[in-house]
Amino acid sequence: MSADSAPFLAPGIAWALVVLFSVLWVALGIAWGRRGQSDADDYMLAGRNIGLALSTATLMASWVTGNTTLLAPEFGYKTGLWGMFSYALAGLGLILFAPLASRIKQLMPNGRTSGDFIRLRYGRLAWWVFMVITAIYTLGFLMTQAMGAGLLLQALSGFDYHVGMVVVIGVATLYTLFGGMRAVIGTDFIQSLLIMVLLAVVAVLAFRQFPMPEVHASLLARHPDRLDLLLPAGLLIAWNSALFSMGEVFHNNIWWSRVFASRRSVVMTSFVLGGIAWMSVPMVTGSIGLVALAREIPLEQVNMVFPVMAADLLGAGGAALVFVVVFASLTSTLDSLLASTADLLAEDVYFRLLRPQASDLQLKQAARLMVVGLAVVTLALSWPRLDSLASVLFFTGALVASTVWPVACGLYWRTANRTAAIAAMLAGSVVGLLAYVLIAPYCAAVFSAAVSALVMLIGSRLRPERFDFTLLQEET
Amino acid sequence: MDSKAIAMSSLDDLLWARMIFTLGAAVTAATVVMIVRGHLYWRHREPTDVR
Repeated sequence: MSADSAPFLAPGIAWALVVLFSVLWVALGIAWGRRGQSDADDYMLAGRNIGLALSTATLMASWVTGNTTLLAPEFGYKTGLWGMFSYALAGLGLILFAPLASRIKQLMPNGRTSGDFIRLRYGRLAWWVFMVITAIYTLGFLMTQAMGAGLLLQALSGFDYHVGMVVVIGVATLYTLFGGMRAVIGTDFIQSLLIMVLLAVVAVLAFRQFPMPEVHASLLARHPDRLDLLLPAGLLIAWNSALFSMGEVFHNNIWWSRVFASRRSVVMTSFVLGGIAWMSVPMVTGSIGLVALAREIPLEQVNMVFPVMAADLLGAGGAALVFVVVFASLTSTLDSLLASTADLLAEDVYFRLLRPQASDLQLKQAARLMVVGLAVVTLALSWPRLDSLASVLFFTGALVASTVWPVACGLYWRTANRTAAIAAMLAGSVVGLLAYVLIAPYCAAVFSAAVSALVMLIGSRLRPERFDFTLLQEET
Repeated sequence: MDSKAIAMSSLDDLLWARMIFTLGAAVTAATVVMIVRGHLYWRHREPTDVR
């Protein structure tokens, strides 16, 4: 579907849904934000006492982006089983971070950000390299979500690109600004329930009308390549998703802030459950792509396969369901990105680097200012419309995959060497970017992680450190 | 390109894809092993144990 063709949902209904859910998120966010103590630690980490249900839900909701609901079906439609499986492999990032989360919670009971860890473990130079990587990734991620919001709301309901973008960023910014991490986690809980229930409804209806044996027989007859597990395109994507997701999760403060915000007794379980719950989303939406392919449904734009199928199955109601799922996915990701990146900047740059003497109130004010600043920067960068969001995202894969081994080794190995960690991040990023340009965007993360792992292993073997882990227990 | 050249090109594509797939699988497996070993090592120790 082009931007100018008829939208799936009448703009009047779409506006009613936007107003309804925007008011709900903002009101709930502000109300939950008022519950805690008014200090910076509570604003940034919700009192460090989040239980299993909230922790699992916020992990899952933050990891479900607009891409998960729209790109995963496209992967299923275009590359068949491998497309679906490889997208789902991105859940490994959360699952493999679970043991690391448990260790972080033990080593850094008063920690606030991923930047704190890198600075204390590997020193200021490594911190600078890490901050450049995380800044590029975060800006890329914010831009893809903002542009995705504009493009998706335009395609689904005919909103102007800029209006859709401003609405989604505006709503997420408002409740994050006033409610802090409590608001983000509380709204994520409801958003994750909405996403799971509505997706289950679409999937059950799809497979009741078109049972799996029929879908399989049709694909076997018309598109046997989509069932081929040796499809070259599928093989190329396969492990890239897993390693890219590990890079995203291991380094980014979204996930570290969830570790610090959760209770120690639930942190490992919540990452495992969050990862498994998340994996069900691309599996369900990807299988919807396969159903569309088996039924030979004509598509003007392949990334609209999920809305097309939902509208085909449920009419206007289906389009409304997809709209709500996409709106919830976008706001739940943007709020997490805004909150945790603002925390990172306030704690690591404002407090630790620029004004170590700042009071608690000043730190909280700085975090709030950062939320607004990030929202404005995101809007400015996303205002010109780009068509290829995936290429922006895969570009960052080359960078973040280089942080997997330095982060994990730094938590487990006393011998992990700080020079090796810096060299691993730099060499992995360079080789990943070369692979992105010279081979294919889909394999950048694989090469980046491979080189980074080798450098980290060899460097730490040749020049082992004897790091004292008590140094990570810095006072706030 | 004649049909033989096209077939060779496809073969190269598949070979490349398999090599990258194998590299990705090896790196992922190594990462999993490193994390599991680290987790098991520290599970029953003090988190900052220096032994």
